[in-house]
Amino acid sequence: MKRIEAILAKCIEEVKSGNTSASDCLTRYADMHEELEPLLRIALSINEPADIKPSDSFKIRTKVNLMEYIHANRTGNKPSRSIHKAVIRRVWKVKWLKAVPVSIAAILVISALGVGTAYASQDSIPGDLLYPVKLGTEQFQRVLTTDDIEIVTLELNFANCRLEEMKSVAHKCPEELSVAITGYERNLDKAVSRAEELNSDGVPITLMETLTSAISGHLYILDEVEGNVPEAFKNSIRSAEETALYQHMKVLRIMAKEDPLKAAEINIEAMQGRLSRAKMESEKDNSRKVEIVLQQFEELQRFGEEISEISRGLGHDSRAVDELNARATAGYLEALDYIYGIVPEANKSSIEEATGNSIEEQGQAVKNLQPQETPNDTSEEVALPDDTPNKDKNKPDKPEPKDPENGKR
Amino acid sequence: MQEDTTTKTPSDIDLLVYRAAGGDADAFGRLYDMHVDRVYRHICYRVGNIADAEDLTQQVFIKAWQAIHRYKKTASPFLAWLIKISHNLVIDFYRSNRTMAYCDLDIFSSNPSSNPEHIAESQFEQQQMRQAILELPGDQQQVILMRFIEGFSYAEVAASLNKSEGAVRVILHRALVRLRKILEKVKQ
Repeated sequence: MKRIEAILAKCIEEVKSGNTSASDCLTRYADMHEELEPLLRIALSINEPADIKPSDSFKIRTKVNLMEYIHANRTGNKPSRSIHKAVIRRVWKVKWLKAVPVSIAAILVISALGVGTAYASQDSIPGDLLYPVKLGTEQFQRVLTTDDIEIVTLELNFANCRLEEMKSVAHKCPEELSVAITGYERNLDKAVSRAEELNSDGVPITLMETLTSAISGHLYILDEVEGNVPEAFKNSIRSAEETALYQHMKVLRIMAKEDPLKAAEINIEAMQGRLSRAKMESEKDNSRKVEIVLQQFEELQRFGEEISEISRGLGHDSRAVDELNARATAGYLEALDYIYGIVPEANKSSIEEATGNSIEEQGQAVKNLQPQETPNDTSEEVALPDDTPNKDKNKPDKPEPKDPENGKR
Repeated sequence: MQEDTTTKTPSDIDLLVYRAAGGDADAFGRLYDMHVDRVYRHICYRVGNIADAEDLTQQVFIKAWQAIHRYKKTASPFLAWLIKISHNLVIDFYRSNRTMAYCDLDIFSSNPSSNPEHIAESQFEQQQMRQAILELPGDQQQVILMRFIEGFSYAEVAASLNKSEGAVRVILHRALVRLRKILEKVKQ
């Protein structure tokens, strides 16, 4: 680098920072005055443009477009379940995507039609003219919400809203269900994912409780909706149930790392909820639904084991969790026994299997308790009901080995 | 909605960039909030009309999202990376709109205490300067814009252009020499 280049840069910096004046600088480097002066004058006359700022409406509009673009081009991060489900999901996604440009347009519609229209749109359901406006107002709320906990709550509220829409379209236009279901899955995923991120910053456990409690309620509503839709649409609702269950377990998994006992309690409540539903559906002779609900029950039961393992892995005293699981299982066995007595013949084998697994879970829980307590103590606390419909009541003493790959028996 | 980059430490921005590179759309949304004003200002200065500036600003952030997983942290801030994307997009913009002239936008401030004659004169000079800067070749234009319009340090400009600070000073000198010639020609 030549001397003039270094001196020019130095002079520009010093004058711009107010440490010296241009004339001082030119005096200091008098031998270069002729070359330096015009260049310094030009450099110092370049002014920063003042207030060039984009309008707020442009910034909001662009952010909405950007987020829609990102979500529309994002590949799902949920674990794949089955090819069948993946295909259904893809078909739904296409339909949902149709709503994307519409929701952007909704922003413009809100601007054009005013707040009254936006307010009126809040009762709209998929298929209605004002539904895109409703989605647009939600997008507005998202953009304007910066507090992380509020974002979780907001997405949860939107998920609740999608459930209400499902209830409405189930009667009026079930062909629009997929829009509400995909929206529900998306909103719930956003709520849980954000809560998951927050967890690393020590998010209050009450937020997790709010989520699990809400999702338990969702399962109840989805059961009701499923009962009201034509057969052709039931699979769609079951997919939403799977999502709800998956997210429920995801939240509990986070919670278990902080408070395994609380996570176990909530999981047990969810299992009891599934058994109550199985009872109700048994009384209605709805054998298909009974099968599905029992599968969900067993999934939660296996998850109960995972909570115990998380507790042990963290070096917590997992006795309280194991004791809770063992006690709860006695209750499940009674419920399963009742259901066994009323279900159609076709469902009896499923009940037997669920009962066998419950006995095994209880055995595992008792076994986990044994190093700390005498066998007599535990057997008193978690006694099996006498009329369990499984022939092999001695299973707890000889549990079958688990499949090492999936944990199933 | 606007988050000022000055209220964020580099590590805050780095963390957001890291999360965005991992696919976190919300983190990218925060980066957008923090940088949109500066990106828009840079583009607006160069294209001189609001409609194109808005369109290109949106494209910058879409391109940034598409490429953020390839972003590598250097001595220059994240904004410099966005400005580089903006620069390339503006070049493409003029390449595909060859007939388009640089538009004059009333983007320069004026001292409210000045009399109207001085205001008009000052704005005229700044518009001339802007036109001259926009006639500079690639690297020279980048150095002038980044140093004098965007306020990056020599080190940041150097890191952004993958050059040494010495090389940036050489480019700056050449740019000022050329600007002088362009402005003299205009005055004649």
